[in-house]
Amino acid sequence: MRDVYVVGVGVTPFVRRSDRLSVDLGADAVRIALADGCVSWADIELVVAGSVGAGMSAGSGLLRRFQRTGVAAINVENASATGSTAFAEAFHAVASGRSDLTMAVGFGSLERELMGSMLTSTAPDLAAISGANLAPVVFALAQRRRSQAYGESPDAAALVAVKNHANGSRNPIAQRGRVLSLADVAESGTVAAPIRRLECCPLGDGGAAVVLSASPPSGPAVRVLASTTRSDGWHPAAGFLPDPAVTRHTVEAAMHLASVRAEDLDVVEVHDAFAVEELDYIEAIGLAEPGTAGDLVARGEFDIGGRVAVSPSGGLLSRGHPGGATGLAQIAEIVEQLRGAAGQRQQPNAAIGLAHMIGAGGVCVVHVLGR
Amino acid sequence: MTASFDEAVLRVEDDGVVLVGGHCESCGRPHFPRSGACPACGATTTERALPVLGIVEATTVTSMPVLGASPPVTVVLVRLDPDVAVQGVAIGEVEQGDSVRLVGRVVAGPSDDLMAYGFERATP
Repeated sequence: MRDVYVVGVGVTPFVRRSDRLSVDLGADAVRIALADGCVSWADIELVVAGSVGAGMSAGSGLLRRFQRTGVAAINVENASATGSTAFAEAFHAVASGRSDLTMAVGFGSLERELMGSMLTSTAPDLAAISGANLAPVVFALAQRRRSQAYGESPDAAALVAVKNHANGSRNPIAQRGRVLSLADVAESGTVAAPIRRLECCPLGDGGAAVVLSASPPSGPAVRVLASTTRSDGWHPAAGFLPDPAVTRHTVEAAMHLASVRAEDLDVVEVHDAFAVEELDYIEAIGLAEPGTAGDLVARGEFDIGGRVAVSPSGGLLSRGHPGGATGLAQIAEIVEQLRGAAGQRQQPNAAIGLAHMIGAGGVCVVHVLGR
Repeated sequence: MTASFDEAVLRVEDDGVVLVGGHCESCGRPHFPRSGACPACGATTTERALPVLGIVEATTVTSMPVLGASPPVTVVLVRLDPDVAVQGVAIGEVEQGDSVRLVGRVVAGPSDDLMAYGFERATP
């Protein structure tokens, strides 16, 4: 396996709805990433396009926005982890020697995908009968189990939403980039008790792209230290709820490959589609003992400037979760942090970062990057 | 008799409904919904009905509609066996820790009504 470097990143603003096609937002992100990496489109040897809700072989539509170089192209889809999976496939292509310079791009709206499946669904299935097709219901049940196990207050998850919106308020591409108070969260309306509206990420639209190379860039070099993907294992509620152990197993594999420990991490981006998830993932990554993440969030340990910056981009809760772009936007945030170029969101002396995504179904994708 | 929404998941019988689980011939563990291969060990499975009584592990009340139920809808996670927890709509008042019983619940299908399931508090 060769060393793999991230040499260019590009993310468009994430928005509730765009009057442009998702594929055009993906193409915008590609142009930003090419410029960031001082890379020519003609030199790209492979494009891995992750898209949701944008139709079959949507990556081919993206190629038509550029010079027809005949570049190799692969389309991938992995629910919320689509962008992360595009990055993983791009990484393995470069690491294995298949391609020296690869573009991973993500675009497409998860909301459009979900609306499409609802409109075309005919017969009721187990998910619809049980409410398991409603993600807030699933994570509300998970939050109840967590509070029963640890005696945790609903404020623990609310404080995650407050922290991530504070971070997102410093991120110009954030979809919901305003500072929130605990009262704002508490008064935002219950979606599925105890989860309130502002503890759920917004869906939207946007594009993100990352250029991976076998050669280091001329500027600060960020290297991919590990790429791991796993699917859910069996557990008693597997017919309805995500595997509570899949993040721990995937992170452990990534940490082993990267030869890093949890205490080495400086910046972490997780799948905080619902605020309670971030508490679970902080513990699964090994940054807190089970049941203690809420107290540590309240103490500021995971703020920018704290022990480890968790969701410095604003996370899915504030930066947004369009679907195809989300995982690549996480990578872009970590790369900017490791370059020392994250501006108002900069975690001091950031050297090692971890990106984590979950995809419905379920899969988990984890990457570790270092400078 | 109203037809099941999915015969592979729920069977409608004269005296009520039962959930169709799988039983592993090798490790002996049950699972739901039934899979041809045991999700725990990979061995062959046989069909076996799940218990109809269980304990509520968690509840939520949602403002979103669930098929066949208008908001506010209470959704519960019920432990029917040490190895099986099932999510479903609660009928009537149900709280965490309650003993509940699996019951039929009629929902609208594409053409005719279909039988689904829910959970109601078991009579003490």
